[in-house]
Amino acid sequence: MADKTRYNYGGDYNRFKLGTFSIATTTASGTQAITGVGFTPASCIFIAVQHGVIGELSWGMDDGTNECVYDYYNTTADTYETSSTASIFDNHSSGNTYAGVVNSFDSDGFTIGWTKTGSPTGSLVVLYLARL
Amino acid sequence: MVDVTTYKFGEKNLFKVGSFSINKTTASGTQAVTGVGFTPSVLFFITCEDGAAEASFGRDDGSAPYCVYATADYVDGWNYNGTNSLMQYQGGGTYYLGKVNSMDSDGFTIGWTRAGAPGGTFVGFYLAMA
Repeated sequence: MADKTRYNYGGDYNRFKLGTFSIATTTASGTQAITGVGFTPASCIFIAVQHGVIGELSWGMDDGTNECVYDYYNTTADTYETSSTASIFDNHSSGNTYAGVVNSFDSDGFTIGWTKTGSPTGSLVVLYLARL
Repeated sequence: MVDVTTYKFGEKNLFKVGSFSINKTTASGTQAVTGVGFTPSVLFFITCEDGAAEASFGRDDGSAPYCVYATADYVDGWNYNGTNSLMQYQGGGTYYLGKVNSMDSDGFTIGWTRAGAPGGTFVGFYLAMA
């Protein structure tokens, strides 16, 4: 396998960034700029969770195409669902959700577009792996 | 948004998010996933059967597959598999699992193993990296 730490693309080294951000899911639909990445990402992997809360978890990917799997427990116990329109999805309860996608990849990070449906509550913590 | 069809380093696209699916009544065998646009070296997978207690999160470089998966043996239980990167477990020895058999010029080929008599649709999302 290629040594990813030394794999050179067009004179620039392959770059990755691990980071976190959070948002209160009571926040109205809108955008959130994530900065401090250090480069313009081209794709991201997201793991999102409400800490200590049952059934609010998602795993997603985004490169402009958005895909995720999320825990559907709070609507139907012990169940998972897929989404092709979000890369971050918090299913707080039936009809009360908070969904995000990458609206743009920026020079020092990316901007999430959030869609609030119903009246979700709690703090959603998102872990990301951004890749150049 | 970044146009992933034209965003290049040198002559290569370096990443691709996509999806595939398979009916879990399908016998063990292979499935070629195409349209990636390059030969991947690493893949991340997330999978689910919509509306079921079946999900997994895995990675594969063609030689070291690994995944964690929801296990129907326990309510909200999770387990891991160190020899496959794709797994949907329906309990009691009934499952559909897979790993990457080969990285191909326009995608990858999954080798599937069916055990017991699982049903439903296995939906998988991937992030492929060159």
